Amino acid sequence: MMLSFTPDTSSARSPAHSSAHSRRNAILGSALLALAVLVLPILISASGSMTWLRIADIALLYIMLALGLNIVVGFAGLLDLGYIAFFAVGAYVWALLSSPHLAQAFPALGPEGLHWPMWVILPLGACIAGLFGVLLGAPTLRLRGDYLAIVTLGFGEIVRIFMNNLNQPINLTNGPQGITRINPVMFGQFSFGKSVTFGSITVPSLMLYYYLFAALAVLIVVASIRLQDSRIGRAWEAIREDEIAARAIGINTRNIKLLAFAMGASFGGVAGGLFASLQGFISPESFGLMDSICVLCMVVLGGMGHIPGVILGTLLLTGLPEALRHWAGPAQQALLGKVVIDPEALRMLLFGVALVLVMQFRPAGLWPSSTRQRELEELADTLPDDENDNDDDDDDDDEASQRSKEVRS
Amino acid sequence: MCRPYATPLHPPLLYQKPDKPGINALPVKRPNVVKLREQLIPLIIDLAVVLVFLPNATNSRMDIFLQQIVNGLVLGSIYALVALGYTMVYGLLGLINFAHGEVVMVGAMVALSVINFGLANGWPLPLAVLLATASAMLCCMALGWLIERVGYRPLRHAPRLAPLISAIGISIILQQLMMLIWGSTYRPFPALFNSEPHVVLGASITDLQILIIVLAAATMGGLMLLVQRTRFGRAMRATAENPAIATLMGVNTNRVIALTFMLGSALGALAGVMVSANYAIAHFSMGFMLGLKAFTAAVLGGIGNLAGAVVGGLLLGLIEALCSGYISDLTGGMFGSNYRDVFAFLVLILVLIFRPSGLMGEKVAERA
Amino acid sequence: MSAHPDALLLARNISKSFGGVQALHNVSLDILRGEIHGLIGPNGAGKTSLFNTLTGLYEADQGHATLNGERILGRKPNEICQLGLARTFQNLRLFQNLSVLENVMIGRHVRTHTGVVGALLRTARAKREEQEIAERAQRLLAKTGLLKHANTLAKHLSYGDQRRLEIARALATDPVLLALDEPAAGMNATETESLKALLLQLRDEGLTLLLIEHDMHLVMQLCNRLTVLEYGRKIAEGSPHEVQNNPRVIAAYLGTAHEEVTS
Repeated sequence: MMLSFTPDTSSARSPAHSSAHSRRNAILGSALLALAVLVLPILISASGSMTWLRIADIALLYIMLALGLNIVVGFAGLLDLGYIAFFAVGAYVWALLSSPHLAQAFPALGPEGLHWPMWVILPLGACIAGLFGVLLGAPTLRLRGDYLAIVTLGFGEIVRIFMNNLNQPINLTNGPQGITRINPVMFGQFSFGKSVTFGSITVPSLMLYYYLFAALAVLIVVASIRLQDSRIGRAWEAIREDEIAARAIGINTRNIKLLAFAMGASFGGVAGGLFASLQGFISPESFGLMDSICVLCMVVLGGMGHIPGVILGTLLLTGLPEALRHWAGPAQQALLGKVVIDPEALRMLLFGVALVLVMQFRPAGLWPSSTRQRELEELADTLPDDENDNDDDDDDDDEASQRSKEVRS
Repeated sequence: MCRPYATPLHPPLLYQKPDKPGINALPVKRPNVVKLREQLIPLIIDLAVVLVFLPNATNSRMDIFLQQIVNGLVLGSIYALVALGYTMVYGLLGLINFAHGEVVMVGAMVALSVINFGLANGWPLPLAVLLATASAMLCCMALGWLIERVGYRPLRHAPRLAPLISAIGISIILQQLMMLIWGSTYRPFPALFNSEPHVVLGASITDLQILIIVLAAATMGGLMLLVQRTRFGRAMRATAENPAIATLMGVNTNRVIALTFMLGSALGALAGVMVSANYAIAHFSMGFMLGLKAFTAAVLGGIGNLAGAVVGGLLLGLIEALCSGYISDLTGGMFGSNYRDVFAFLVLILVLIFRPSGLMGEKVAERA
Repeated sequence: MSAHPDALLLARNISKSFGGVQALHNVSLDILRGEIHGLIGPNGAGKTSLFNTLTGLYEADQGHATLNGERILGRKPNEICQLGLARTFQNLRLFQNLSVLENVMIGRHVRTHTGVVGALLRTARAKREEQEIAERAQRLLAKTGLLKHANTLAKHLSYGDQRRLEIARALATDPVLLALDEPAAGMNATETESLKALLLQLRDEGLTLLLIEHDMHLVMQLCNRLTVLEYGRKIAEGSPHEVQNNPRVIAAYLGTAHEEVTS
């Protein structure tokens, strides 16, 4: 599964004796996938729908975001409910350094404000977001599971409240109105904000963005895979599985956890900067708790810790609700003769139902990692086996007794 | 020589000691009064310090200060009621019932409808309120049962995050359904008392606020009695301690869990009625932030701990009220009361840094 | 008590209490280079507490301990492991959802250096190190007889194999002292036999072992020296033969355990 993305992944994760046949299949698969990714926007724009091109762009951003969260939640097992804050940090870094906004607060900058090039802002945004990640991670190192969840949630809210209110005493974020006139991505004089004509072909701005985002998303996918298959990635998984054992065999859990927060956050920061440039406008409204939860749902629904699964989850959760938004109204019109349920409400309603149902029938996600899958199959195969049953019982007892320590009436 | 090794801090013994009669394995815990005192006294001293110095430090008037305390207590009582629902479920299942905030909202909406229906049909107000509250509680109990049955029970052995996602899904479903049924506008909640507020030392308190505080206190007292003194309470504590052993001891854990959900939802419904009556408004999205704050309160106090939920709720209410009253003075006008929530969360984060299991949570030694 | 010149681990006057319970009371322990040292005592005698204190999971109230002359008390578990003290757990703490191979590979973490940059760029050094980790892990699996399970999830191993995997994982950290908490618990006779052979082989290769064990046969056959704890105090120390005939030890094991000692 992993092979379909990088045929040369180390042998640690794939079965030791991978045959030339499966290798060829993997290469073929990646090539087909790459072709599909390249052709998709052309097909969409051929159908004349700019909306769907924008949705495709956003979906790519969400993939970067979800893969960042996947490092924290999926690899390291640290439940983060305030992840969108890092997205926000990246977006605001881009917005402040690449729009006229700061000129209001600091007239010394001249009437045009700052317009730094993307080469500076994007890494800077990633770094600052990573710094925020460490800032969040440092005080929470000792916290476990759900305590961590609520603190990260609080952190996300704090960031949002500051964005909402830092229009005074100094107007940094422009409060709830948000920041407008943000520069598009520029390569020298070449702007992604305008459509380009090559001879007889006109490439719309959204399609330019699509290819840029796709390239960056591929980079982030590769980075995720390489991290997962490295010493660092194994240390993350060790912490997820058993923190005490991880410490006992020499893993510096503090540093490794902070690294997970920082890496995850910097992915979010990159996505945030790109989001600001694509939209040209940002406001705190885009960075609420619901957005954090939405990204978390993508990760868990797809299959935590499994990169292709996370991508699938992201595509489904960005695509399906949008599809509903567009077709729910007309479909009701056609079937029932009138719009019975507001399409927006129906969209959210079905989103909720989907979350519940998927968790009922595929609690490990739609496309869990091959080990997880193997485990489910093995369980199904060997269900009457006593040994397996005993194993499960042990697990339950363990969880129960761990929990019992937190429970006192 | 005594055998001192049966403390919970010690790694579990591999072999059952033969001198331990089975029935004692039911971990029936009496509230540890000494410990409670140890924890509460520093808290009370801190609060006293704040109470004495805050008004002086900010050159403010005592009546405004008292007013904030009253507001904080009202808000805190409501938080505490909702927090109890979170903490009970967490205690039993180790699960954040993310949908609990929406249950509170449903409670408020049902009560509002019944009151409006009653008043339109000429019922006397007290009767309408009473019936409304009762029906809200009943509806929410049914809802709580349903949520547990459909959303959580099938996922009891699933990976840890699955129930959380399921809860988020349920939360979204409830919000959208309520919006479809009751619309997306803010609904006015009728005034339950028309009397003038009482003025005590310059602070005004309405009959409704007194009622909320008293009723919340009585309910929480009743809950404590229920948990400490009744058969059901004992079964609940046993299930919280170790579901597998509780089952072996003849406790029907499924029923205990279902009943606990219903109990928590009833408390939530009561809180929902209170909060809408207090702010004279109800809205389909009111449950989200309220639930979040209440969960924060539960964690602040030490999640899984009933007394902790009450302390955490009251504390959070007071912090919020005092912050929104004084933050502007304290920061020289730099931050306004819109930073109230920041302080609520900052306090939470600080508490957890210094006491990772909350104010009254047991310190958990790591097992090796 | 004076320090033995050959001592690898020196622990002096270690005390640890939980609340009002004194789990360890002035316990001193010398482990000599190249020996298998047994730590025995009735249930709740404080053996595991001593383990946890020495490996940094518990903070000692007082006392001090050194490994190879380096202070270990007051350090974090990962630092102690880095100094060369590796351990297994009584209740098995494997990385359950990872494969057997990955479990052992994680054990190499403390002796390897690839960071984020190396991992992202897949530098030549990182690749070489990764190769080394995999090879080393496979060798350890071969040594512990787990190679055929390399791609199985740790939690699907049999109980005895899980115990062996924990040993393999600990060995991956290149320890000078390997501390095993009841390695034979739950094993059948065959598994215990092969465990014994493995431990003896490790000793012959120069590794020092500290062993908590309830199986008195195994203890008597394996250990060069024994330390006996009861109620958190050391009540005896010496060769298996000396300890076996120590009246205080016999008294401590009176009842069911007495038969085990003498049989």
